[in-house]
Amino acid sequence: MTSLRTLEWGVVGLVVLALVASSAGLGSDGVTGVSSAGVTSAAVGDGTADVSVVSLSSDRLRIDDGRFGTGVQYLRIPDVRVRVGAVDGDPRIVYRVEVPALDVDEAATKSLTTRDGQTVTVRGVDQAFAPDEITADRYDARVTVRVQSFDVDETVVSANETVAVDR
Amino acid sequence: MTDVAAVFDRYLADEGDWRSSRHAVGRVAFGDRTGLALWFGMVVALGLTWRVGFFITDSYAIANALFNVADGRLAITEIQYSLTLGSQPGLHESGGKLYGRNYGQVFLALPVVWGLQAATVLVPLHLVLAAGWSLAILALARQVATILDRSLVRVVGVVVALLGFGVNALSPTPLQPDLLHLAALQLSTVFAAAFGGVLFYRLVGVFHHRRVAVAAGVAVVLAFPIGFWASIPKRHVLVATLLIGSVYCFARSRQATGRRAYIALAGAYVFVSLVAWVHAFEGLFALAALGTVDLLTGGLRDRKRLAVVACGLIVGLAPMFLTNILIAGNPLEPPRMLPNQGSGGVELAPTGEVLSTGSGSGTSGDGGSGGLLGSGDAGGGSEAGGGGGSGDGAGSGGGGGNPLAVLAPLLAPVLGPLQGAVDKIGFILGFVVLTVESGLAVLSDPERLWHVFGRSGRIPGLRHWINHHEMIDLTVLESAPLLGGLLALPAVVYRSVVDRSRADAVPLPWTLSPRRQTDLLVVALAVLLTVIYLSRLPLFSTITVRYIVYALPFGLYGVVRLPPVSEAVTRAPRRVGWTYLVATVGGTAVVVVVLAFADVAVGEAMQFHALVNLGTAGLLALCIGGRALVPERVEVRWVATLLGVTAGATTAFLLLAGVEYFQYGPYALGVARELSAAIPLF
Repeated sequence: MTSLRTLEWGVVGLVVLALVASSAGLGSDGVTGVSSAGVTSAAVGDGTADVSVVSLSSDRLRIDDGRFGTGVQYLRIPDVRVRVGAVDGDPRIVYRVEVPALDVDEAATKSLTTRDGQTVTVRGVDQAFAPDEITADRYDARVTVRVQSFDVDETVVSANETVAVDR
Repeated sequence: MTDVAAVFDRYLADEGDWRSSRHAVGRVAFGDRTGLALWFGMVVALGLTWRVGFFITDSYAIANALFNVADGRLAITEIQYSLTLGSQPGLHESGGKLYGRNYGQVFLALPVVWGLQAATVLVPLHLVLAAGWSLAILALARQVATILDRSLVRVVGVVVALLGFGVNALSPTPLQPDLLHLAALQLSTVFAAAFGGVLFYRLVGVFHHRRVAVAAGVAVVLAFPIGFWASIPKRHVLVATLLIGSVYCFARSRQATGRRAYIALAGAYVFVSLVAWVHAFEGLFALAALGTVDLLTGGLRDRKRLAVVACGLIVGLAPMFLTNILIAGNPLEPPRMLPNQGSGGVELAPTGEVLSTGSGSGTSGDGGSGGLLGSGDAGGGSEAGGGGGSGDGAGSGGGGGNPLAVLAPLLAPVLGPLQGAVDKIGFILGFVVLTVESGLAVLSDPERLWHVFGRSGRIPGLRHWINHHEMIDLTVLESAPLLGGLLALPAVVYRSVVDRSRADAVPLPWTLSPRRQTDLLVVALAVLLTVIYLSRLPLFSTITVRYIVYALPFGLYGVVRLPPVSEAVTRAPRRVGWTYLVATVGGTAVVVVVLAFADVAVGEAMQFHALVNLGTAGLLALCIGGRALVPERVEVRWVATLLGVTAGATTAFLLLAGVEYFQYGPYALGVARELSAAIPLF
């Protein structure tokens, strides 16, 4: 029992030591960047990167009924997967889908700072509409993928797409 | 291997290790070591879903009020947190100065601010939170090890605490120092939610087997909407905790004798009065319910008891009166009665009121605060919409139409200087009457009730555009499926009537047993506190019908009181516990796989949970009803299994909603961030 108590106090000591070390500047302050999943804006600075699209499923770009009793219709926006290389500085990737007739202009971004040599997925966020808002059978859309920083704004993909409405 | 449940029972029966005066404070606050362990356990669990950010725009005003109060002033002269553009709902004007509201919540968060300020003098905020979480795990393991007489638990605690600290420290979340006051406000509601669980455990333990009490204490926080709102600094969780505390004290006052009974009775009034410091009108209605039941059940039968009640009221109401005097110069004028800055509101207050008894329409103000699913840091959704909203019924809670206002001119010459107070009281009483009337009127609208208590989906008349047409607002049963047990109430009552050997007369209130008297108070609070908000429901951005979250624990108390439920938890505790754990872990995994495969939007994910929860609620009701009607054909373990499954499905929902579905700020703990990164949904 005494050894257990010693062990517990040892953990407390370790934690306190870590706090003291961080206060003395030996540790990381941990506030260098924000890149949590789903946050739609990413830190950006000077820099550049080579980006190539691995997959962008245009077939999923469509409008269909919401499931599980939502009673709405969704513009399904596919995820885009890109291969990132030659990262220099703090560039970010911008994935944008526009459907002017529906007043949709959705952009998702992701920082590329620490992703050199990785395959990165940028999630498309589906957009819901009231049933009476979808009146046409198809809509025109524009999809763009760009590498952006204070230095560059390079378009990787720019495509006009047709969004079919599933009835 | 020794039976853990048996060891636990022996411990509960003994409770011998907290008898010394050294543990007096702990005994008063937590009751016993089990209560303390529950508190630590719930704080640790709730930390996993904590994001430091604004989920609802109303919280800006509260956080700014806290920032200014911590700086030594009630008025908001410095805005620490703000939306980039537009209004900041929840600000009120008095004497040319701006004030927040819910000052009880603000002042109760002050010690947490001081604690975090002291701790972050040298250390970053996220490391302070990481250290606190790991120390809480150590403390939890130590208490559980003592209760179960298993030293191995302490070893596990050491390992988990170290691992947790490592992950939290190495996976830092970006918590800027200026988030300290917001973090303190959120931490205070987490502490309050956990304390509510402890109080619920103690309440149920007054009249029931301690196994049932422990299960109820865990369920009310981790398998109930309280868990969803725990780290979102709205008033609902704090008010729920205060109300549970009041009912617990009431129950103790009926069970105990002598001095203890008097102290408990005073405690009941202190707790309920403190609600008024947070939200004056919720406190008023709760006080009305408590006072009425106390009077009917003979609690006010002598001068000594009246004096005790008066003391409780004075102690509990003094902070609110003092705050009101300092802000408005009138003890009867809480901030919510002061003019709104910017948009009006739909909150429960007799100014700028929008009451509706119409069907479908009139569910809220005119919005204007943005939704809950907006991008960036700014959360959205607000109970303080604009001045819109409409109803085709009789509702109108504003200044006009006060039926008691005619009395004021008659009394004024007699009362002279008290005329203002009389006007104010008459005004408030008129509001009370209208609120109850409009709430009762909704009871004749089954479709509206269905969308509040039964099924949500796309609710007609609700302005879903505020949340971008994502169907994220669930009903009571969808978000608290354990309440499905109440659907079996007719069967249980039928069995109870049939089982009676003789025709008992309906007892008078003052002849009821202490347990029945407590039941009466629970019913009164649950019904009254629900009815007063019915005219505002259904409403957007309430997620779990948050306006009545404070009344829902009393529904759970009702479920616990059903004999098949208490029988199942008492006779098959391990089945309940294991089923709950398996359903939570397995259910979370299954839901993630299904939703990832289906590639859903957030509204679809919420509605998926709604359907699952409705299914478990229905099965639970059927099983409890079956056990009550044909006990020879429905086994106890079936009820136990369904209790575990239903609770587990809810915990899975709360976990995924907190970690994955609603992303409005950085995680307080790196562990949660890693968990979110491992879940391939949003």
